[in-house]
This record gives sequence, C-alpha cells and structure tokens, in this order.
Amino acid sequence: MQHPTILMQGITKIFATDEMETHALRGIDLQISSGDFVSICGPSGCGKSTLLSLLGLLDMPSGGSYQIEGKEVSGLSLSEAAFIRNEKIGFIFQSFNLIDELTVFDNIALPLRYRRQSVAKSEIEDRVMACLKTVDMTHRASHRPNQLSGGQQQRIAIARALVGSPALLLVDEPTGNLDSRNGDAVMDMLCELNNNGTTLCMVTHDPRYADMASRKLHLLDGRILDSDGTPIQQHTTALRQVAAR
Amino acid sequence: MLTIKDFSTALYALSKAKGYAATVVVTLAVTLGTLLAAFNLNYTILAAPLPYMEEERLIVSKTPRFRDNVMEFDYASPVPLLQTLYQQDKSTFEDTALLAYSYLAASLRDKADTPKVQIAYTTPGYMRMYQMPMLHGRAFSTEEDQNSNAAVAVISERVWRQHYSADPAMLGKSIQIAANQFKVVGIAADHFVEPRLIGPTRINDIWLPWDFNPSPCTRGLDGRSCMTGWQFLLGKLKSVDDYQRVSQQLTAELNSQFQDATADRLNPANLSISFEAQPLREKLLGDSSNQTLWLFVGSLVLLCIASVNTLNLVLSRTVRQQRNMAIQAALGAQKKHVFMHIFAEMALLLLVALLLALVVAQAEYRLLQQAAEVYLPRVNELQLNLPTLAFAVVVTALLGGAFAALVVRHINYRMLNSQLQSSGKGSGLQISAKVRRLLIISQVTLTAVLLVVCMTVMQQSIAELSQDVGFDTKNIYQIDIDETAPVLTQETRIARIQEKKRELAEVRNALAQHPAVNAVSLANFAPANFDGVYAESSWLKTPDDLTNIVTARVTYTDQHFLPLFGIKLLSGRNFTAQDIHDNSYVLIVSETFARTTWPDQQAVGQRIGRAEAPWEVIGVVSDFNLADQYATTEPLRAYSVRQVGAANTLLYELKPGMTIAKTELNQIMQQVQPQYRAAEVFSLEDNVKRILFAKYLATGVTSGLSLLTLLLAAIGIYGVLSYSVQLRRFELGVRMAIGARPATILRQLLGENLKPVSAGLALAALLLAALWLGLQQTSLIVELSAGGFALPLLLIVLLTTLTSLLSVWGIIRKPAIYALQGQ
Repeated sequence: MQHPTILMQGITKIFATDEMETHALRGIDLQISSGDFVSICGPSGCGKSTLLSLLGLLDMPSGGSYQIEGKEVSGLSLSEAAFIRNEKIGFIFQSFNLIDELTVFDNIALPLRYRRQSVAKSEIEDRVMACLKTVDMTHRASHRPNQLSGGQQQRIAIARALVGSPALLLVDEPTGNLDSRNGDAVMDMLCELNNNGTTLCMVTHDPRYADMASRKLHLLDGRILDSDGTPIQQHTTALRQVAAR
Repeated sequence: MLTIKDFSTALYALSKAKGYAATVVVTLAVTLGTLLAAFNLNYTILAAPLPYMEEERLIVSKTPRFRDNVMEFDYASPVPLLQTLYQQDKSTFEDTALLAYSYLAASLRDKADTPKVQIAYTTPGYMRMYQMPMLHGRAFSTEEDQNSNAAVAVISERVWRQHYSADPAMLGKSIQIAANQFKVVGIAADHFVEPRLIGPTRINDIWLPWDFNPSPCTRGLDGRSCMTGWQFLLGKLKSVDDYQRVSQQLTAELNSQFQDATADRLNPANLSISFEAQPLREKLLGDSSNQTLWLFVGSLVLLCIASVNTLNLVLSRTVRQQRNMAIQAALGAQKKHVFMHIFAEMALLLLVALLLALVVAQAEYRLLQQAAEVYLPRVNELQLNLPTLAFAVVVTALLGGAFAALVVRHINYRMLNSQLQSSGKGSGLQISAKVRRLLIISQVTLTAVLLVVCMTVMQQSIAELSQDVGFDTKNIYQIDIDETAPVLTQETRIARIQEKKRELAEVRNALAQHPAVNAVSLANFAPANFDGVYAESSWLKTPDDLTNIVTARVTYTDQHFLPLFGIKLLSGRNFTAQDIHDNSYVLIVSETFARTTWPDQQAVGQRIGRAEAPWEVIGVVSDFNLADQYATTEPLRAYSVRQVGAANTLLYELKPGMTIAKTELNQIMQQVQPQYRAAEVFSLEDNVKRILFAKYLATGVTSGLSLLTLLLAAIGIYGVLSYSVQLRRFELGVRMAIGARPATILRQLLGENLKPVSAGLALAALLLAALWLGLQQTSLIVELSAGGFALPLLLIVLLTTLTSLLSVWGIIRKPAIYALQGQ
C-alpha cells in the first residue's frame, strides 16, 4: 500500500520556560498525500510557523506521531533529521534566505552537496541548470543574490527547493516580501509545479493565494479547524484507522 | 570630554557585563604586569642608577695578561702589584680600596655549630666609596688600613640576627674566624646593597681588614698561582672622563713593575699585563641584559596577544550595543557622543587593569627575587619606581588609544542611522570579515611564534634535565673544611701542602671508619659546585711548542674519587695510593679532553706539559652532562693527585638511611686534627638541583608562558570565531534547513577557519626564520627540533578545532529552527 506523504497524528508542541508553558500546537492530525497542494492559514500566533517547522523537521514535536512516506520521523536525531530534510523536503522561505556569499548556481546546488551519498559534479550541474530553466533564471547562474530583485531571488529559492526532487515542498509566506506582480508570478509558478505532481504545503496570510490550493486548512490556537470552525481532530477517528492499517 | 556621568554610566553597564569586564581586566593585568616586571628588570640592569653616590666614577681593576699581545687570561691577579699601587699611588684616584674574596671556607669558630660565613677582606676606602650603612657601630677607620693588623670586624645584620640573636651588646665583643679573634666594630645594615663583583651568587657576611686575607699571593705576580680567591683594586675617579687616562697611566706603571718582577722567568719578554679601569656598572652587570631583553620581548608578544583578544572583545561589545547607539544616532548624536560610553568603559577597564598589573608586577618581582637572585644582578633591588610607573601609564594610554582608534575605524557610524529600520538578520552593524580574519591571523602568528620559542627552550631544558648528569649524587655529601692554618708564604707553601696532605688523609680515614659511611674522598672541588668555582690548569700539548696549550678544569683528588661518584673509567686505570704517595705527574682526562687533544690517537699513554716534568695520561673517564654558568657545553676536565694537599673538601657517601650530624663530623675531624672544622655540609643531590635550577626555572617559566599563551589564544580565537558564528547564525540555520547535518556545518566552519589560521602559521614561519637568522649572529645556542615546531602547530590546529566546535556548538546541537529564529 502506498503511504501518504505526510501523516501527523496528535502532534503537540509546547514551548516551556521556567515560569510558564505555551501550547503552540494542541494535537494536530494531518494527512497530505502525494500531489496535494495544502494551504494553511490563520491569524498571527496561531501556530502556522510552528507547524511548518515541524513538518520540515526544523524542530521536533513535544508529542504525537509524524511520518513521512510511512517512516516515523518524530524522534530522529538532528543528523538523521537533516538527511530526511535534505532528501524529502524542499523549503521556500518568505525572506528567500539565499546565502549572499554564494552565486546563484552554488545556492541552488547546496542541497545536493549535503547529500548522504555524494553527487557527481556533472549531475549537480545538470540538475541545477534544469532547475534554473524551470524558474527561467538560467542567465543569472553566476550572479550573487544581492544582484537580483526580490522576485528573482524567490525564483532562485524555488529552484533551490526543487533541485533535490523533494517529496514535499514547504512554502512559508512565499509572497510576503514581494509586490503583487512578482507575488502572482511566484504563485503561478507554484501552481504549475503542483500541476506537474509536486506536493506542496504553504503557509500564507493572503486568502487569495490560499484559495489557489486544493485543500485549505485553518489554524487557530494550535488546532486545525474544519470549515465550520470545529476543531478537526474530533472527526479523525477514521483517519487514524486508515493510518493503523 | 568624558564626564563623571559617563563614568558612572559605564560603571553601571560594566556591572551588567561582569564576564566581559573580568576577562578584559584579568587578561590585560596579567600580561601588562608581566611586561612591567620585565621592563623594570631591564631598566634596573641597564639604566637604573647604582645605589652608590657618584657611581659613574667608581671603577674596578681588570688586569688581563697578554702573551705576544694576545690575551691569555682575562683576569689575572697581580696582587703584590695592586698592593703597591694602593700604597704608593695616592694621586690617581679620589679614593681607593683593596678587596679580596676567598673561596676557602671559613666558619664562626666561636659558635658551637661553626656556621659557614663568607668573608670579604678589605680596606676602609671600600666602606667609604660604597657608603656602607651601619645599623650599629662604625665602618673601618683609617687606623685599620693595610698593614695595621687591626683585628676588627664588621658583620652583616643577617649574621648578627641569625647567630648572635641580635645581641644589642655585640659591639666590642669578639668573634673567631680561623685562629683569630676579631672585635666587632660595626653591624652593616640589612639594606646595604653590596656590589657583587664576582657574580650574584656571592653575598658576604663579614668584612675583615685586608691584612687577614688568607691568600695574599705572595708568589706569582701574574695571579696564576694565587688560586684561592679574587682580588681587586677599587677606585673612585676624580672625573668621569678619566677612565681612559687612568687605564693608560696605570697600565704603564703596572706593566713596568710586572716586567721587572718577571724578568728572571722563562721567556718573559713576550708577556705583558694591562690595567683596565672597568666601570663598576659594567663589572656588575656584564652581559646579563642579553637574557633579560629576551624576557622583555616575550612579555611584549604576550601583551600583543592579549591586546588582540581585548580588541576583539571591545569590538564585539560595541557591536552588541548597536541598538543603543542607533537610538542615540537617530536622536542626533555625533560620532564622538555615540562612542563616548565605549571609551568610558575602556578607560575604567584599563585603569583597573593598570592597578592590578602593578600588583602582578610586584608579585613577579618577589618571584624573581626568590628564583633568580643568584642568576641575575640587581634583582634584589627590584621595586616599583618612577620610570616603570611612567612606562605603565604610557603603555596603558597607547593601548587605550589604539583600541579607541580601531573601534572608531571599524564601526561604521553611517550605518547606525539605518539600524532602527533593519530586520537585524545579518545586515546590522558588523566587524568586517576582513578585520575578523586579520584578528585571527595576528593572534595565530603571535601565538605560534611565542609557542615555538617557548617549546624550543622548554624541550632543550627538559632534555638537559632528563639526562644522567654523569656522576652519582645519591647519599653523597660534601664538607667544606675550615682549617686554621697560618697564612701561606712562598717559603711555607710547599711544606704546608705536604703536611696538609697527610692531615687530610688522616681525617678521611677517620671518617671512613664511621659505621654510617660507605666511602670518602678528598678533592679541591666536587663535580657539582654550585657557586661555579673551579680550578683550571694548562699544559703544553707538546713540550717544544709554547703556543699549543691545552687548558682544562682540574680536580685535585685521590684514588677514591672516581669510584665514589661512579664516574665511568673508559680506558686506562684509576689513581693508586702509590701515585699519591709519589706525588706523580699522572692525569686522568675526560672524554672531551681526550677527543679534543688527540682526535686520532689513544689518549692513554700520551704525555703533555714541559719536557722536564711531563704528565702522563693514565686514564680516560666519561664526560659530565651538567652545563653551568661558565660553560654551556661540556668543558675539558682533568683529574690529578698532585696538590691533593690543597684539597679543601671532604666528600663522603652515607649508607642508605644513615645520617651524621655536623657536630659529630666536627668531633671526628677534631679528634684527628684539632684545627679542622666542618664549615658547611651539603648534599650533592641538592647541589645538582641548585645548579639545574635555571633549567627547572626555564622549564617552569616556558611551560607557564606556553599555557598562558594558549589560554589567551584560545580566548582570542574563540572570541572571533564565536562572533563570526553569531553573525552567520541565520545563514547556518538556512544551511541546516536545506539538509546540512551538524557534522557538515562543523566541517565547513573548520575548513573556513583554518584558512586564516594557515595564513597566520605561514607568517609565523617567516618570523621564526628571521628570528633564527638573527640568533645565528648571537652567541645563543638554540637546538631546533621537529617537536618544537610540530607540537605548537598541532596545538594551534587543535585549538582552532575545539574553538570552532565550541563556537558553533550552541547552534548545531539544537534543531534548525532555533538558528533561523536567531535564538
């Protein structure tokens, strides 16, 4: 049987200090299948970024189960998590997060250079150039990020996320730092990727862009709400049964 | 201008950053304190006025002897001629004195435990010229001058307190030295700074009139037969410009008398003698500044390392305060206003560091006085003085100025205005990567140079300490014999030596009968003599060639000496009782002696010396491995039974676990010879340790310096790397987010960090090569070794690895989100 790309069950995240505990996520159940385009929206502080961090293994949950393509990843070491992140997940950040010291080419090649099994130079070159072609930035391969516009930088960030052929693309406010023209262009590009089979999970404030996803999740106070505002975890028994099989 | 408000604000800010303040203060205080101590030591040796009035006019006689105008001995002791000069020449100097030290042991015979005392024989002018301060009584008067035979004494405050319980009625009482009673006329105050004319080791306890000098050298105008001490003519010039004139005048007088006196000697025509009016300062200080200047250079490098660290800390702190500065800038503050609080903090820190440095320096003076008083001149005079204080203030001000200038230069004021709008993600106020690299390169360069130098010295010292000294010392003791023989004259000398040979043999046999004693020998000197005194003798290598002379340290001893010390006989035979009885012209020579003199022949059987009385080499023994202050490499050594009657030490080995008290030794000797006493008894093992103390000290100092250097380098490199990592926190988070493992991040950082480290090491290699070439022009012997270079290199690479790990540990041990969120 084919496993869902993402399967979260009862995921919680608590940030604790000496004086208090903050429950950022309160039992998240979430399944994302291959080819899905899921958008997550919600007000500030609802837990969107925390959920995205957990999805991307940038942080570990305080409780619950998290599987990527059927493999439990909630208790991995930092090193193992890095490998999974490298091979299965691609990130697109709001502020692009390109490394200024590296050229566009090297920025995109970076995930391949972190591979468990080293990737041949020629293969890196082929894959980077293919990704640059995808985002229509071939001519900028030798430039530095600070020589590019915001929209161009985000396209490079998309190329970097794609270069490792991840199972899931996590997108954090991809248009937050862009004007509407560039924002639209980036969203068009993401839709096109999804249409070509890439699984996407996107956090956004913008309802216009959230509506472009095939599934739309609302997050409030650390819980996923159904369309009528009821926490979705009350209706997830069947989902758990599916997962158990 | 800094105001009190600025300082109180700075004080409050520093109280909130105690770690920063403590690190800066301690780092600077320790290194600045060390530099101040080194400066003061050099100042005292090179420039500080001697504690004698008009010291620039004080001279000490130097009377080298020449053969064919080539110097044969740099120190001859033409005592009768000096005495004549002293008596007859009253016009050349403003004041004059004779001064003699004997290395023959003397003890206070009026005390039951016959404690050993060091005695100077002199005339009243000595106490006048050196302004000997009196605690009680008076100095020698003109009535107690040469030929007065006045039996009076001036004793030191130490002897007065230690042996006479500070008896207030001591003046007028008598003390006994040898067979004579001396009336104490004065007690020299403890603060009398005695001019140590034969090196820092010799400190006198008692001053007696010149007439009681036990070795007046009535025979031998050139001083070569005057083997029991040192004699000087001291003078005070009428003018500071008189050195050359006096030297020329007295050389003419002295040499004329010398030629007259030696006219009847073998081949005297090519011998001459000169008189050099050696300035007192030159005599006292010699070339000791060679060693102390290196100490100063080392301390300066250490301070440079500490300064680089401090600069990094100050820059980092400035960067951390960027928000406050940005607010000030936004409110219209000028550049000087913005940096004022940093300067106020710096001024406070430097002031505290300066005060603490003076305390550290004071502690180091005490340490130097404990450890190096017998190695370096004038160390006992070290104390805080105006030049050192001025130097301290200037160095501190220079440091403060340099820090201030660098802070202003490397912090971009113009960027401050945009800081309040900045997201803070890597685009804020920064120390540039170039400056960071320069900080690391300079840190590594200085550290590597200092470590290589320290480790080379340390390795050399350890190698010397760990090798066998070449003779046994365990359970072996030396007695310095005090005998009350009448003063030798030319007529009595030979007979007395024969008589003493018999007496000493009796004493040796009596001691050998003691149940606690394993073996006993007689000698003029033990193999390890801490005060460095040794006898030297010369032989013609071939009888007909007066220019081919071999000179060696000579030990007059008996057949028991070599077995007692386990000195290996490599070929030939030991002395026999018959050799001693016959006073034979036989020699046992050391390996170096044999190898140097007969490189291609067997030494045993060779004959040296004059044709009418040749010496035969009967044995070759192994060398010692015990360099002393007079020979950095193994000197030529010879052993002879002739003049064993001139021996003045008994050397004995105790059976394991046995002891003999000094009083018992005195009784044994007295039973055989009533006039013999043990002036001092000491362990050869301790003596070797004292001789090696300089090596232990070098090892200790270089180890300490290496550790301090490493510690400072660790703090400095960690500071820079940690700061770099903080700046790159977000970037590292991004790398981790796209799959970089902790090990990958560490490897990458290490690779990047090792680049400036490699540059620093390359620069250090260049500096060391220059240093090495410079040292080739000096007399310093430096043995290079791979370890001396490899170990520092390894340590610096290890240090970089550890500091890289430490600096990034806080990031890679946490999930990537922490770095991305700047936590």
